[in-house]
Amino acid sequence: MSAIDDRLREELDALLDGALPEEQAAALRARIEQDADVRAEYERRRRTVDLVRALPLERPADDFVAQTMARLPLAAASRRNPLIFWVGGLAAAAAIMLAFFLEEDASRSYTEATGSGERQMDSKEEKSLGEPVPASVRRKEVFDKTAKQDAAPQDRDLGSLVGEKKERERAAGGVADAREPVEERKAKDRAAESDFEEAEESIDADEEMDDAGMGSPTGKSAPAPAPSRRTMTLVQRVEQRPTVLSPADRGLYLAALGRLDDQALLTHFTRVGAGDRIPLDRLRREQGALFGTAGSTLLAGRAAGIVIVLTVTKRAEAASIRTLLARAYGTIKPAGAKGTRGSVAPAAGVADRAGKDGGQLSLHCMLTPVEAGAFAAWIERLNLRRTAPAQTPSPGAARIEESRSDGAKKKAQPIPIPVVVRIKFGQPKPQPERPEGADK
Amino acid sequence: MPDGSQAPRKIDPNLSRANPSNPPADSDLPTQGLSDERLVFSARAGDRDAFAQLVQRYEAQVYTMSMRMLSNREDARDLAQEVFLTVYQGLDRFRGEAQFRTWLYRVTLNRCRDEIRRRGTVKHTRPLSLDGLAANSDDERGAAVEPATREPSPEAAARGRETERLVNAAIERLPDELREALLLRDTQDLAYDQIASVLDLPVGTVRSRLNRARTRLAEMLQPILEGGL
Repeated sequence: MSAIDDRLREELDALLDGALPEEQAAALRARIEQDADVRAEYERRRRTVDLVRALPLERPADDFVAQTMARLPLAAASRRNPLIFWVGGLAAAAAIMLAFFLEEDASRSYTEATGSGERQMDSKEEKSLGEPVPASVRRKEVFDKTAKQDAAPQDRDLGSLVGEKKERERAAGGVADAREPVEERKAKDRAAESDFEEAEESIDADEEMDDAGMGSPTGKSAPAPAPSRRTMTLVQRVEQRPTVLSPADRGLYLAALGRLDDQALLTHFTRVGAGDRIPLDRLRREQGALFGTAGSTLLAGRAAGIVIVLTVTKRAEAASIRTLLARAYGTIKPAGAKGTRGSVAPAAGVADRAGKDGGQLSLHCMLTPVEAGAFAAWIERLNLRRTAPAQTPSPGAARIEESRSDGAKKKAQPIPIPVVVRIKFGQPKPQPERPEGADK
Repeated sequence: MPDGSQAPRKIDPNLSRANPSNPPADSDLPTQGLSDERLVFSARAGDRDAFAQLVQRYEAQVYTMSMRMLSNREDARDLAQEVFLTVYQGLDRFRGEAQFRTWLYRVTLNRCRDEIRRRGTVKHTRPLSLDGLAANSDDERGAAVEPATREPSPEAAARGRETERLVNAAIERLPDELREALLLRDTQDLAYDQIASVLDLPVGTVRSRLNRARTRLAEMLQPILEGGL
């Protein structure tokens, strides 16, 4: 007979649970055989444990997974990292301040060098500076400047930067904006505002046409029209002011573009492979005017990309959207293709291999959260429009209609497309430059 | 019991040695073979199917745990959904230092504690009465403990369900901290160190709580245990 204390009980439990070292377990087994009290306690505990372990694992209702997943889109919105807004905002603000400082400093250096203090530029000087440089050239300078800042030691003084900038400006024929007379700049702004208002009117007119079923960006029989003059005016307006456009403005601009012309919107996205990390120089080369803002440039140095995943509830819907996206992207890589990372989000095209009741598209591009939101709104608008009663349903919607086994003539309901935005941070690893069209 | 409840598992004392990241073999999705970590990674990248697979893989565990902590199916279902939503929202914060499963249980228990705290007390819906069972025959009790070994008679099946009800009632009467340790070990097959990780306790404390939980449970289930000895 032996006293059974808590220590012994714990050892008996550990033996039952297989958590006792083998040597200790053997000793305890021997003791159990020899000591009736210990054996009785061991059996009592064993049967207690058996009773608990015999309890079945219960399951919720069959639709638990579906219902849980249906609640996720709301949660997904809160998954967006709020840090990106702060980082993006700070980066944009810093870039704008830096650009302003450099321009002011360059202007001051210029006037100090001439020794004439404040004065208006005469016509000869204006002519020597040349015509206003296209936005793309100025954008390139911003990119170059940022790249050099990224590569240069941090203690590099601003004076040398200004000097280099001045040399580049002279080589390129100068930058007009910084030395543009104030009245002229104001006049341009007024003209741009007027253009913008006209463009807004055009948006409304286009929407009315769309609502009347006169044009559907997703319809097969309605190919995307060429950007209208109004659209291009709006584009140019944004391109002319690349350093003062806030992310929110660009989001609104994107939304406006989406309402005007889908093709024009899509051509502004950078086409990259699934999971690609884009080197900064490639980003510089490939990114369109839309992303030529200082803010996005600075941000791009740290952000490796943003993945947008469009989750659809019907395979036909996925195929329909995929066709639309492929029109702008040319080639959409399947998951696991060369240059992709299989463990990252599945690439567009995975819908083909998904079940008949589900599909997923991933769109990988450089977007700010605001832009992503605008893009989501655009997608949603397409979806709603496609199922609008006044229009011919898309092929996908038609197939959904046909697939109803009960034969009931139910009208296709708008299918919400939640959009998940994932932001990946990290310095892109230096990798050899891939030739143009390597993704194809 | 819901129709979809699975058969009681055979008792294997070495279960704690099994790799806890191995998914239960009750999944038929294409991602069945993927590890939890792989699915988490994909879900973090926006793959909803991967997360759906995680939900399907662990719905029963989370639901059972919630139900035995809250003693209410509806509440357990709602809480289980909230757990998965919480996990989904926190995927970015999951660094993989702990196993997904232990992290999931930690979230589950935290939510259960919040709910219990909100209620003030757990409602005991099943009264504990062992009087009727004390006089039962050994055969019937054996069928109740190991119902999967042979096809039980209707009477034995009913007796097994009653035994199950009483065991559940006894578990419900355990203090929360003891019940957590017991459920994690004996219904979720977590090893001691994993339980310690979930509860954020030293392993020694886990052993102590398990000992106390089983001792109390044995006292409450004494009529059944004595009849079987």
